[in-house]
Amino acid sequence: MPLMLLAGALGAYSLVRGKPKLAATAALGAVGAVAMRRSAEKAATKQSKPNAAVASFVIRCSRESAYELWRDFENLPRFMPHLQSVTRGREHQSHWTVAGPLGVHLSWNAEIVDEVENERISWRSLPGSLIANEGSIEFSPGPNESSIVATLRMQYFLPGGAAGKTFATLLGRNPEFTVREDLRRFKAFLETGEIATTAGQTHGPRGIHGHLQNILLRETSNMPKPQKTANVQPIRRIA
Amino acid sequence: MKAVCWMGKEDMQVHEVPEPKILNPRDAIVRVTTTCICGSDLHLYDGLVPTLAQGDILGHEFMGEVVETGPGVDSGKLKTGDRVVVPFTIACGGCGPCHEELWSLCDNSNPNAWFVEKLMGHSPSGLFGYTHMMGGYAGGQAQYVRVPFADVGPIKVPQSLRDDQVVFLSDIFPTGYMAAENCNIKPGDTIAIWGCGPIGQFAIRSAFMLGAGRVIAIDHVPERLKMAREGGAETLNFDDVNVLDALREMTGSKGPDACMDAVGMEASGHGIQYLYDRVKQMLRLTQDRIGVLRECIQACRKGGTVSVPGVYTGFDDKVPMGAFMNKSLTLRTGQTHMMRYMKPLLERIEKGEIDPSFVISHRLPIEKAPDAYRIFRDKEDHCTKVVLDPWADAAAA
Repeated sequence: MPLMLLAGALGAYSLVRGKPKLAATAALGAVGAVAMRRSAEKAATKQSKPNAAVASFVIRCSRESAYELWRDFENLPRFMPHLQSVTRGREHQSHWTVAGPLGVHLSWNAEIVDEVENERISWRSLPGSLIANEGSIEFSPGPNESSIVATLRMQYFLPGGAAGKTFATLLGRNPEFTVREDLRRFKAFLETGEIATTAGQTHGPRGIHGHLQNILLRETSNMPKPQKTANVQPIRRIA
Repeated sequence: MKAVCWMGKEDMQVHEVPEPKILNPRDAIVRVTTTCICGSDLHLYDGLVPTLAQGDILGHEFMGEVVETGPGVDSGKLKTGDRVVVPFTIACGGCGPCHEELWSLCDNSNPNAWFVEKLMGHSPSGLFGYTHMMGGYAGGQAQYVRVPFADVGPIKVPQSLRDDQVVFLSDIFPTGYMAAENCNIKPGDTIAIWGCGPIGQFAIRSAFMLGAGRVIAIDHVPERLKMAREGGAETLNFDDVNVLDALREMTGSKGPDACMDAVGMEASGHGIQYLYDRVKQMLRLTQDRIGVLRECIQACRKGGTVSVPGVYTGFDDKVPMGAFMNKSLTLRTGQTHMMRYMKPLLERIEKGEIDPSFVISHRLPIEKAPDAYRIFRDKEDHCTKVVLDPWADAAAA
């Protein structure tokens, strides 16, 4: 584990400092360490379903407000940016759209399978959908009276069952990363009302090095878009 | 607008860049009236901290006037026209750590938390102008800055105090004060402080405010040692004496009750251990030179406290854990929990207990920032602290 961290830090560092040989060595070290870790993890399955991505966070809010925010599925794209839109249908149904590669929009219908107010919501795409998806969000008591623990599980399938890889292929991301970051944004939304971002901020001339750095840190794609600022007053210079 | 941009190692340039915009509802835009160069900026200047991108605007010590607020800013707390000092840490005010007053550990202010978690286990808060690991926020060595969560961090300051007197509430005064608090000072204690830069200077004065009986300050720059003596400290020049021997002699072999490392990752030193650190850092096998941390642990009395305001970023070896464990020491550290200290310290300034402008040695227009970084790092021209004016006409200066 420390080896991977060191190799990772060294690799990232040498990449941005433009030292390719060092980067290559570090990359090899990182790959080796990651391979070791992955095989150890597979031996100890930590989720109930194989390949379901799981994440959990402590959130400083009530179970009621967390449940209310998630239960209206139309809110989901606000903190799950890979979703283009989710529209409520009749009863427990909803229509989901995701932006795939090359700008192609993929859609499916989903239904709520199970829900317990302020505790749990599970949903699943309807049988026959091109993209099969199931997920659940759970709210349990947190470490103190003012917080909860939210746990999100998500899984995407192709017909035939090539789970997980589909998601990554569709969106260019590791499913565990996406689920974790989606839940992190959900937490930020509940605790602050917004999601911290630097997308769109000012900077000096970037050059190749600067652009590479942005890509390395994923600061270019799939960041939440800056929120609508239609009500902002124009800058008044107080000279 | 003009901004100081990091373009490479030892390459700061002033560029004309777009003005910042409101991006989130709780943002505000501040027109910067005074900004400073911090000792920790020098680690960025030397290219020793990873994840800096060419073009990043630096600077995390700044103050000014609010010119625009987003729709989500609580106007009871902050509105257009307010004169404010902005803390260098960004905190949301809504997460667990913020509620525990651990303001520099905010869960929600670092958009790159996912990256830092891989390295550190968890992410601290975002900082202004301090690499993408710490959020990648554009910094304050510029004419305008976008301040996120604007109703949480910035404090209003009265017109009766000059910029010079209050700008250090943005970082170094609270940092020195928290470092002194972290020494667990009991009345009459002896505190040894390595580093007589601005943090050390404020730590010396804060230690006396908190009841220390004796402060011993260690450095090798003559004017900084003189400034330390003016603050009431006894001084040691580590070029002239062996610090560990001298401290033993000065404390009857007991050792100081607390030792403070106000130096951080670019420690100077002598001998084999300095050479070892220096070579490893040049080869990028380690990120930090920890000579001062080692000395703090060695010198500290049994059962004492080591306080570390000095900035470290990486994984370091040859830490004397044997001494640390067997002498039953306590280590207290962290980026400053700014919002805890800004108002109480502003009150002390208003009452006249301290005038922080004593540390300033250079006042320059922003165009001179590239030279200023070099002067500050090399301690040329008796430099102790550089304060920049983003609006001064360079020709007139």
